[in-house]
Amino acid sequence: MKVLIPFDGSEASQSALHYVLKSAKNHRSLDITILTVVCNEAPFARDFVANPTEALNACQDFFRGSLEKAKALFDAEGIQVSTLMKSGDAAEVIISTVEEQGFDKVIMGRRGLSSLTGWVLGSVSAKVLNNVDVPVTLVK
Amino acid sequence: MNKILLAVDGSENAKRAVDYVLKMTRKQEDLMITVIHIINSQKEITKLRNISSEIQDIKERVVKNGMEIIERHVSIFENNHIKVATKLLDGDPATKIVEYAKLGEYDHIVLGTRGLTDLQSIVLGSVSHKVLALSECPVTFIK
Repeated sequence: MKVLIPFDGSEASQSALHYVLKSAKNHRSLDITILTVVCNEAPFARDFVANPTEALNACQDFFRGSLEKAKALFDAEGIQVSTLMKSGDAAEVIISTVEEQGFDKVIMGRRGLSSLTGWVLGSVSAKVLNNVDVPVTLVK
Repeated sequence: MNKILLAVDGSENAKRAVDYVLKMTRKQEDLMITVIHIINSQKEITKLRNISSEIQDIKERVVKNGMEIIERHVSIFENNHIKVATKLLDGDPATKIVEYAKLGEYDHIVLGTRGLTDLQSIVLGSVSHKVLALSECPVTFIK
């Protein structure tokens, strides 16, 4: 079973990793991919640095580091995982990755979704949930 | 031991949620499954209050329907020789599902959903939306 874990370094996405780690221990047939969607245009760059490319690289380095750390959690348990790093709108990239690469399941973190704002403006997890056909597990 | 709370209603999505949990049992042996269905008798009574039915009759009918929904889903597990527990509760569906999951220290809630897009569900709160907001444990949504 191909499982996609969108990972942005947040506490909730850490919980999602640990949740998968736990189930992977008694469920060796999982084919796990951790996906980080980051640094879309690095909009902050213009204000702070002369060279936006440099800022984008710095941003990607940072998230590559956190993605490596996430992978290391699984390596430590002897569980193989793949990693993917993409940029763009987080929800859209997650949705297209699920479709294009034929994932069977998405497991992701969620923050408190109780606020009306989150629902009207559309949180990433809500958007993913609405647009993929495969089961989605949300972990707090 | 992995305690799964499978929330069902009469929908097609609930059937797919049952299939999903059934698949889980083929891969994991230590699952303890409870099939839960929530009836909302107060809501049904309010709906039917203009018709001259006795409240007790309405309640009995709602409970009977609820039992039938549970039995229909449970029979799928039984056909596959998998033992499941069942629970029928009365009240607000999302609140009851989450409360029961907390009380029983369930590890995971599984439920069928039509998605969360419509404005009505945003404003009034669909069951899946509310379960998601209230629950502490992981929730899997099946379409």
